[in-house]
Amino acid sequence: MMVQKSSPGRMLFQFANYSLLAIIAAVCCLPLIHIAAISFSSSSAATAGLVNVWPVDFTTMAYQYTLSKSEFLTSFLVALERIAIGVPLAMLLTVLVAFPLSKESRHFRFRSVYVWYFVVTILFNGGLIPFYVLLKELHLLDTIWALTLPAAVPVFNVILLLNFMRGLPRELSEAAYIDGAGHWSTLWKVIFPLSKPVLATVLLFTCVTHWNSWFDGLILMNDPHNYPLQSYLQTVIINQDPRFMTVSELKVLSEVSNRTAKAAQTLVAALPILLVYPFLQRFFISGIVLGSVKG
Amino acid sequence: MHKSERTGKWSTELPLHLMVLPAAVLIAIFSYGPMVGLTIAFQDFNPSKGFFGSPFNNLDNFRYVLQLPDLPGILFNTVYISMLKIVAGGIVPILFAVLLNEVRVRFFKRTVQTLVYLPHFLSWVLLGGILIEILSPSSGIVNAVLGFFGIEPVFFLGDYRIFPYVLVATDVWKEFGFGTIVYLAALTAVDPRLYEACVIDGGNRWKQTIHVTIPALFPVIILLLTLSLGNILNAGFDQVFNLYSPLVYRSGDVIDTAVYRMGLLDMQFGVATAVGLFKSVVSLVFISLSYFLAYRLAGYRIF
Amino acid sequence: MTTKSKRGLRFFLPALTLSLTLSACSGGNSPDASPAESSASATSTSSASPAATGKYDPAIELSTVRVLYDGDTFAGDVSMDNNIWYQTYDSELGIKVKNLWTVPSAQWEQKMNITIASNNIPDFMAVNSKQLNQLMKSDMIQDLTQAYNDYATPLTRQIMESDNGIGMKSATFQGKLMALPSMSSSLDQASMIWVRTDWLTKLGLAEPKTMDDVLKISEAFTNGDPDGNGKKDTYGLAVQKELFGWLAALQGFFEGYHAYPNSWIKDASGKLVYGSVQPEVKTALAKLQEMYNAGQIDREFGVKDYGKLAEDMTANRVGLQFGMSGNAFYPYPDHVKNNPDADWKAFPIVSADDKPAKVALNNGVLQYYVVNKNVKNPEAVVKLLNFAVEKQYGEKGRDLAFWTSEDAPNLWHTAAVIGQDARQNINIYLNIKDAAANGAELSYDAKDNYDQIQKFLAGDKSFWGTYRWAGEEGSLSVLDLYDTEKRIQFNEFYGAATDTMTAKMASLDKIRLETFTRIIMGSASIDEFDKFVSQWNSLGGADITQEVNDWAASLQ
Repeated sequence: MMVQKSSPGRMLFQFANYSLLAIIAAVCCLPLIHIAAISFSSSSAATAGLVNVWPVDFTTMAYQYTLSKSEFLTSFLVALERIAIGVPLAMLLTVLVAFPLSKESRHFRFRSVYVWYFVVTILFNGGLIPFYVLLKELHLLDTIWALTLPAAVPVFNVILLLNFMRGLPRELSEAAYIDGAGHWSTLWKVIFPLSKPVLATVLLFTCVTHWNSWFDGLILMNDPHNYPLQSYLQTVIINQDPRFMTVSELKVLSEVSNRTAKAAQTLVAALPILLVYPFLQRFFISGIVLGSVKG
Repeated sequence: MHKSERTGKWSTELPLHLMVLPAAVLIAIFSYGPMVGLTIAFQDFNPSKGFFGSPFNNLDNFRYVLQLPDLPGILFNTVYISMLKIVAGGIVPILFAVLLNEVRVRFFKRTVQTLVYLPHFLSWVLLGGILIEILSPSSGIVNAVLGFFGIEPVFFLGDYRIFPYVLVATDVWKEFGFGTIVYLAALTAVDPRLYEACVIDGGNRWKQTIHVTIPALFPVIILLLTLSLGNILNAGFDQVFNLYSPLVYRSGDVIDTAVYRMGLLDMQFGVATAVGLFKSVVSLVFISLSYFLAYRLAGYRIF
Repeated sequence: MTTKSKRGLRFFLPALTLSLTLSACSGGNSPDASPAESSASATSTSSASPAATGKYDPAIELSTVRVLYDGDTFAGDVSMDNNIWYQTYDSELGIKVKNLWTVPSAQWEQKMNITIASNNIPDFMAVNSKQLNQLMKSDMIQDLTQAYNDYATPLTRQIMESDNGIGMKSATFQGKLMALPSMSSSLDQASMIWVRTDWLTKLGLAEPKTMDDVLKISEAFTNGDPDGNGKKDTYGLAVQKELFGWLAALQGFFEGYHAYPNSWIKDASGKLVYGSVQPEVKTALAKLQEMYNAGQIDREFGVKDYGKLAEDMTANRVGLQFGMSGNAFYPYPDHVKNNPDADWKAFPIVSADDKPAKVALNNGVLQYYVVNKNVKNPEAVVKLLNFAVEKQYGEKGRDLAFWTSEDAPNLWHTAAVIGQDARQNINIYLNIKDAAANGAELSYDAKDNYDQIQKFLAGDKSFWGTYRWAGEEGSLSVLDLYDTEKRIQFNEFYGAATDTMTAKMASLDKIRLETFTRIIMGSASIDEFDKFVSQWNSLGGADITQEVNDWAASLQ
């Protein structure tokens, strides 16, 4: 942590800083508050645009509509399953790949080859059709593996982690090697514990990605019972965009206000992450014990 | 010479290869496998014949794209908007992370950090509706505030001269929380001894920031910047689609929205893949350039 | 900074529209079908022969894929895979239908696109016209002419031809019937005027009968403070940013000047030309420009979509729009519920001169049933169609066991193949009118609507929508007027998209939208329209016109 001294200039700065940050934070959370307000408002109030930051004609209709179906619970469980399998898998592989690649070339030849091997996959994408065909041929459609295996190596996270690992003082791992440790133990006993801040970051990103994905669920699952939560929530929203709506569609639109349903959907989708996030924060903010390095 | 990490021998390197192996296999299957489908870009794709049976039409798909009437304008818009986003989207999180780092009160710090990540969760469909309201020249808050300062109402979403900047500003607002997390995490790893040394040299808080904090962030900054160069031709379909309108087509229409409007995505497989391939190649060029420049000029490997 | 997530090609999509059609057809007169352009469909005889309804023994299996309608609930044992339709297909027809996948309507197009692209199509399925084209080009479906001719019952034929035979024609390529169109009424898409009648009364204005009336109304709504709050916060005509569509659209306005921007029409020499580049459009645009200038059109219309316009109407900011019959159900009911004094009513479009205005209609078919090339019994699908049509419109009336139940209010959604009378909504209205006037018997679907209307008239405001749709002087009555007075301008082109259309139409549409918007807003002079016409022609419009005329010639 930085060293500080109190002074009038410093206090002024702190005041300005806190104010600025508070304003920015407020601006950031206002839209979500607005949407929360809409989700608890009556559909006519929402359609008329009367809702600002407080619900108008308080009602829980939108939530009832969104949450009432049994599909909600099923899809929620699928989402949990997806995270329970996908996240540890991705985290494990992220660490396993980042560590070797964080070494310099003289310690690990082919390091750069591997790195480019992985990076290219962020840039090039064969497209949805070949991907779908592949999963079909592998008989992975309608299984949880379709949702977890392709995402098992999040290259962006790998690069983030490897970058961080590279920045750790070399003396630490050197010490381990000198003591006779192999790569494996060095990784888990030394590097891993020191990487907590970035690991927490990567964990958060991985969880969020899995939680928010809805497109893959819809395309790769043939049976709607296999939809993860976000995919299911997508189906709750009626698409208002087409050139021509038939009378029947308009009838449905009138019964379920799209605005409040969409708003409820957003809240339901965002809530769990917002609850999990503070727990992970501990790792980003508190310092790590670097003092263990003996000069 | 004490036993330190040995170099260059297979036996010592083998465990490292083994660590990478599972991931490499998965990537081979799920990322490289589908790349076979890139051949569609050069074919007149017929689903019943598949990738291997459809007739090749060489560069016809690409020529088709190049013949689009407003292509130069669209390309320019795409690159311009992306570049602005990359720059602004790079700077803001850094500044914010540094400022946030100054905060002592833990509760405040954590709350702010959580709150700024919130916009990331809102879809552009929702934000579009909200933005249209608050940016309205007649009834929007933003213009009301501007009015206080005697500034004439600005038609943010309807003025093609301002539209790209609106895109950039709102996108930065939505995503800066993400970058902040990464930078904050990196900041926690800064060796305190560096700060102590700076203080000993007479550095005040400001000097500490300039000489310790920012340099410590360099690797991450360069990394994130480089990776975002991979997005150079992705100006953000979701956002543009939900915010644009005929009034601003000339400065706001980007590759993805133009392609979408053509219904190219439905059944024109060859052309859609060609566009995707084109974007990928350009991204690769940019990233490689940055990587090798950094390597040659500064001896630094970005990743 | 953005997280890199692997996204494949993004398929965006309009929802699949399978219209809810609730009507018994009975006496509805089928307008005479224009002569079929191929001999194939005209000459068939066999109808109620055993072949049309006979059972397969041993049973055959057919796979398909299904859509879940928005808002559907199935309880108990009922599901898309297991329901009375599927059970009866098996027991009575010897056809076992199996669903390979089911998807909600919003994702249907995407999923179907992938299914087609990965060469993974089921034995039969419902597709839209773009997909139909693709399947044909890729030679993945089979010719149904023979199957239809030999197996379709007379009732089926009647239903399939109920829209002047346009649907069938649009499914026929080079004389071959490649799909069975699933009807949806194009008439439902006709534009009409919706006005705040309470505002009319308040400001002492007459109901619109001519374009002049409409212009007067627009002016009064802008300047006359119709919402009575002392502020000049209302405007005259509702327009959304796409200019065309199902709410706050301008088709109806253009039609008042005999301009048809989205249709192909015959010019004086009989050649087909595109409506957007005709001089009548210029007249209409000039008028719109005037209106915008006078503050009668929202200055921000260029960025407002349907949702925003619905808001404007609900918030009492505008009281006049050109929309469609279905607007009775959205967005007005909500508004009326909360504003007891508010009332909206539908009127036929009006003309700017002494020639009556006509509404432009397109081929209303939104979905086609196609059969996989490899299927050995394509006639089985025709049998499924016969079966459905019989249960819907058969002599015994609607077979309710297949239509609705406790567990599944919309049980009929589970049917794998549905045939729909294009005149169903109109027939509901006519039936109700007949019942009210002469005590005629109510058909199944008309009955529900009739009851709701009665309830409304007795004071239950929650059925305002039904009343304004199927009741006296409801929006359906406007459609009826168009129909009986033949105030319809059919799109003369109803074939598959031509090559240049596929390549260039979207760009041309973009230019059109930009140009029209700028003209209306006054940032371009009205003469910009002439530049637009020549641009349109040179950038591909001329080629498209040529191709359209070639197509028309090929039909002779």
